[in-house]
Amino acid sequence: MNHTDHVTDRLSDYLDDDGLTPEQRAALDAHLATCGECRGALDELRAVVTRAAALTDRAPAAELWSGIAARIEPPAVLKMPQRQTRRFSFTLPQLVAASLALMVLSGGLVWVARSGDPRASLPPVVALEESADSEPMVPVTFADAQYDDAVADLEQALAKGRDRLDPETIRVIEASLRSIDEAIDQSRKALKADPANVYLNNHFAASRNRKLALLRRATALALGDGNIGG
Amino acid sequence: MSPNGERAAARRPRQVLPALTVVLLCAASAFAQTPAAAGPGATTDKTVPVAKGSRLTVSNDAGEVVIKTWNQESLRVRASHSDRVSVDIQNTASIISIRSRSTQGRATVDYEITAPAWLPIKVSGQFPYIGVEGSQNEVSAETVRGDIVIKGGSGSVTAKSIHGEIIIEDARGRVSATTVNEGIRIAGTTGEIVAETTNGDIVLERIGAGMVDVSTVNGDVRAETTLPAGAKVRVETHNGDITMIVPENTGATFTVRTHSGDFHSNLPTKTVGEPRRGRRTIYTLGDGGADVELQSFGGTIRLRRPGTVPTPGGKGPKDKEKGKLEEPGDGFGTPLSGSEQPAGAVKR
Repeated sequence: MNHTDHVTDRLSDYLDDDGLTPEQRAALDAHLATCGECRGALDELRAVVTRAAALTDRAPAAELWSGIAARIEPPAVLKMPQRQTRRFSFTLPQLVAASLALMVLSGGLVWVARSGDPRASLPPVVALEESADSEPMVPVTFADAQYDDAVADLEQALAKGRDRLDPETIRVIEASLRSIDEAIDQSRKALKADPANVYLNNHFAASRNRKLALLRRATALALGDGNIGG
Repeated sequence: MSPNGERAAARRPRQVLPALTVVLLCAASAFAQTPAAAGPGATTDKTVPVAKGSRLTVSNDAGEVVIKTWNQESLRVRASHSDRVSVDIQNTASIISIRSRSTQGRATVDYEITAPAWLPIKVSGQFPYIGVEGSQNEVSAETVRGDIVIKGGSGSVTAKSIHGEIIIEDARGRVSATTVNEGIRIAGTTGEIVAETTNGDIVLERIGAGMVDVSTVNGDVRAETTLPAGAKVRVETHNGDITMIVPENTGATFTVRTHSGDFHSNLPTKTVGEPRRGRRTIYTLGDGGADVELQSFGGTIRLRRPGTVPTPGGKGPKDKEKGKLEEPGDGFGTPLSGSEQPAGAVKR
């Protein structure tokens, strides 16, 4: 165990302000002021808590079973970092990941119990596996109805206002949307090969957000709402 | 009158009418073309007093808006436009509003405005080129199809375009540059910097920033910056290279992420943990005080000492070739020759 293990073991307590003496807290403050790695770990813990708080309850999709089935097979069991073999305590990211898995699993089981066996038409669910570099994992679903709806709405609005835009502007916007779509597609393919990669998950999500932002900007421009740049 | 004379008199109206018609048509044609001709057209030159606490807004459909500053408490507007366009200047206690009106078609006006340096400025339009120089207050410039050049500005400095290049120099405060299909260059600026484009390069020069967040999709990023302790910098591209130039005595923690790209450093960075392609790798320099994130999905990420990177010349951010580097190594963590520091043994 190196010196940072002592610190990272206490980061959850530090973040929750739970179980630390003032002296321990002061010592952690002093260490965090000089250690970028531990600061990074703390930031990531904060990010996990924020993301967890932002999660919305969603009804289980009808196609969940194959993902659930895949999850309960031995290879998809959550990997615990080595530290877990030494002590029976869980870090906040692990607890969040476990609770997410439990939510999905219980939702799916309830649905199965109520609706019969839907295994015939199930898309895969991304495994909740902690990444090898111990960063918190953000599960990504490729089929996001809300996102697809938002994109479709904006594209429809843009098509309606298309005549109000300069042809060169339309060409530029379409070329840029194609560039973003390529980035999304490349990220998606990379994620399929490495679904637990935190960077790829975040990059995929950021690319999709970028597309939404550009569509919003272009639509605002086309509809002439007075905001030039959106 | 002889019969010949009568015939001649009878022919005269028939000869005169076509000639008159031709003359009238020519005159009408000339009259119709005069207002549309580029020619000298009309000019406006007006100076108005500026009340303390006022601000300036300029709305121009097309043309140029060039704003410079002076030490007088007044605002001079010089505008070149066609006869069909009028320039409307509204001056109240809180705002000076300048806009152009056209009786027919798009109003194209070239403005040259001289304003007090303290006056907050907002310029917008569809097609104008916008240039603001010497402002010591907030500047906002928005256009769809035009370049934006802002030299100076303080507080909030914002530039937005769709297909125009953006250049911001010597600004202070919260600086934001957004375009879609062109490059962005920000130089000599301190404060918070946010820059975003889709198809274009981003160049940051002589930056002393507490917070930097720049991203592009299809473009390179070149950032030359000092990194005070506590600074937070995030640089991201999907399909381009990142070159970050920082002084050797900098204290910073670099978090490097790439999917299929490489990483090279000629700074005395230390690797934290084991570098692995496709995963986050952390490098520290000095006391690691500043927090720097560098992410490229498929490009090469480089950390460089000052003076070891060719200065981009030519036309600006788009001129990639002059800034190209010959890498002594070819892979993420491949042992490098020359002045390069190996990024560490890498598991593929």
